[in-house]
Amino acid sequence: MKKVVLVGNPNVGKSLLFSRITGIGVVTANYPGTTVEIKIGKFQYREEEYELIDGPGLYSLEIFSKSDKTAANLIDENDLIINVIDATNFERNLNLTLQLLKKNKPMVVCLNFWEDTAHKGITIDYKELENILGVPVIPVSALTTEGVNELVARIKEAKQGQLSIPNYSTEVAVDGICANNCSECTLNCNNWKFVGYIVQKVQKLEHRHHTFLENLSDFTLNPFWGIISAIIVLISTLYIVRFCGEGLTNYILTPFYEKLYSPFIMHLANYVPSELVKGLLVGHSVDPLQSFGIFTSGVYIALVLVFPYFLSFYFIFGVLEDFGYLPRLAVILDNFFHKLGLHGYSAIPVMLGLGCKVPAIMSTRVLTNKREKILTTALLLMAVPCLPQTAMIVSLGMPYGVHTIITIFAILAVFSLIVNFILNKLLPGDPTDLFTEVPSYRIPSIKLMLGKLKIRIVDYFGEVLPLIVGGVLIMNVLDSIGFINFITYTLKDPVKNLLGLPPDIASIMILGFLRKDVSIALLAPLHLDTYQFIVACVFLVLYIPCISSFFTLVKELGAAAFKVVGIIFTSTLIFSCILHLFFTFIK
Amino acid sequence: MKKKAQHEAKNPKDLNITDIDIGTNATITEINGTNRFISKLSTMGITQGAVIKKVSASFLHGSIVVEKDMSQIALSYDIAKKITVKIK
Repeated sequence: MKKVVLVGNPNVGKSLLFSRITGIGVVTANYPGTTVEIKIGKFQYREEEYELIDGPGLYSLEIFSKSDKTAANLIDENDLIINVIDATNFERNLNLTLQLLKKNKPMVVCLNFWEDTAHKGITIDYKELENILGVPVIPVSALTTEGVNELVARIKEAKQGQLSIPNYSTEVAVDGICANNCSECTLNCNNWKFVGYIVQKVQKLEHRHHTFLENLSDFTLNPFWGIISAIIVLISTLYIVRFCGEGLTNYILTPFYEKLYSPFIMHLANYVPSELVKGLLVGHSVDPLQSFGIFTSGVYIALVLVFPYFLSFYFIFGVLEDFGYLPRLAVILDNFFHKLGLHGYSAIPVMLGLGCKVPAIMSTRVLTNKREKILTTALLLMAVPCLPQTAMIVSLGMPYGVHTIITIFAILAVFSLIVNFILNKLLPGDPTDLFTEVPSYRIPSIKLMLGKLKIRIVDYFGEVLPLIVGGVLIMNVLDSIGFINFITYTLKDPVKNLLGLPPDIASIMILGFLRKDVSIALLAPLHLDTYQFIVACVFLVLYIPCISSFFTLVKELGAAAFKVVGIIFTSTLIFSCILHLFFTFIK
Repeated sequence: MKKKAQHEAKNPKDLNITDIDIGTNATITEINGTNRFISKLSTMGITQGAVIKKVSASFLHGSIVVEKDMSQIALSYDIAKKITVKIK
């Protein structure tokens, strides 16, 4: 079986093409660096089976970040290259194509976004390009699937390319020598001269007026209006998420749970012969937040309280992602992040962290060095709780008043900035600079967005339900062997003296490692006062990442993950004590 | 080669990318920095001789967006400071 790898600049639509050829659903978005993991799929053409590999994009074969390395290795490991080019960014994409030709591997070139070229006034003579590069060139639109079949059919024609430029005069050859005369960049500098020459031969541009989307792009990059639009986007995101989330919880899912699901499950539970098993399955209380049964509390928290916020967040986020707003946010926020030793691109992992920490931590792979990754990870873990936690803090915090909830988020924001500021001073090395492509705005495709939402929902239920079931089971077992009593007894005094919280919080801390939202939910039966609630929420959000983010962290940062967790835990403990002392003082 | 570049930088016609107005087209005359830095910028077509257009600049030494052919590229202020340009 031949192994075919998709290679191209970031954000040229490799993942969508992968999805179109193999039929496997993947998360796509309009910003460079969406794909950080390798995906493998299979496809068939006339008895011949192929393996298709999709990986991160790269601008050049030189390695500047971890994802560049992954991408470069993929080229060497596989038999055949499909070089995906963004036809609306033809010139910039050709640099990599010329470097790939020198790899002497069978290759086909695919001009993606072909449907966009006409209204952007771009004409590319792809037959002429075929002659120049010496490999098949196929115009494709991954979005409308036009040309995808032809691409698959012509993969067997893939061959090692040979650059032959007609009427290529000696004058150009002499001019092609790099002016900087440096050995390292000769590859790129020389290539750009060739690229310019090829572009002259095959591409024609028509003059045209700015489109609405281009004007909007200029507007959102404008120093003044950019900030205003960033504020409007962020506030309306939060507002819409809350509106949709609350609506779904209050008017659809709560009635469903109370009127249909709960009576049904309670009826079924009557057929369970063993009291112990029954207790495990549906718990002992009618209140779904206090019963801790797998099919009552577990389902209630995952489906009724958290899922609506999850759904509405990823819907809005999907629109922003596919429209191409996120890189503009990076440009606008660059200055602010620079003060924290980061650059604007860190805004994307932090935004993702509003949803779930796991994809957020993984997205730090596009950052170039470890220092940046550590700082960004610390920031995204501490600055905002993940969406399920936010949903729980809002639900449980409402009785204490909106100002309590705002206080919690403000404390988290200030504290995380302080820690990041100190970390930036302590970590050796200099802050790195923003250097990224700003893709054009694109009208999001509803079909693609729904597909992406579906993948995220399946992931959510696939991961959340087993963890809740497992977590509740473990808690029950630990409880029955007396371990929880032991821990509670040991930590009773420290917890009371240092944080001013009831001893039960010790067992909640253990569960918090499994599901952080559940740990907040478990505060409900404790009847905390406002100050205790604030300290408990701040502590439970920060003290340690949940089990899935912890393992993602270890995978991404290696040994440094333990340092990050250690720093976060220690500073959280100290900070929570200070917070408790402060509250005792003002009480 | 290097000497020539320094001499050019002193030419009063040469400006920094941070100095020029938004909407101005300019040719890059020099990029100051290590080979690796120059090489990194060149992966996106920011090389000596390239014609760029300044698209935006954020307040208080914020990032700068330039247009090179059909692509827009965001540069931090510190990177932009190292790029010398000449207005046609």
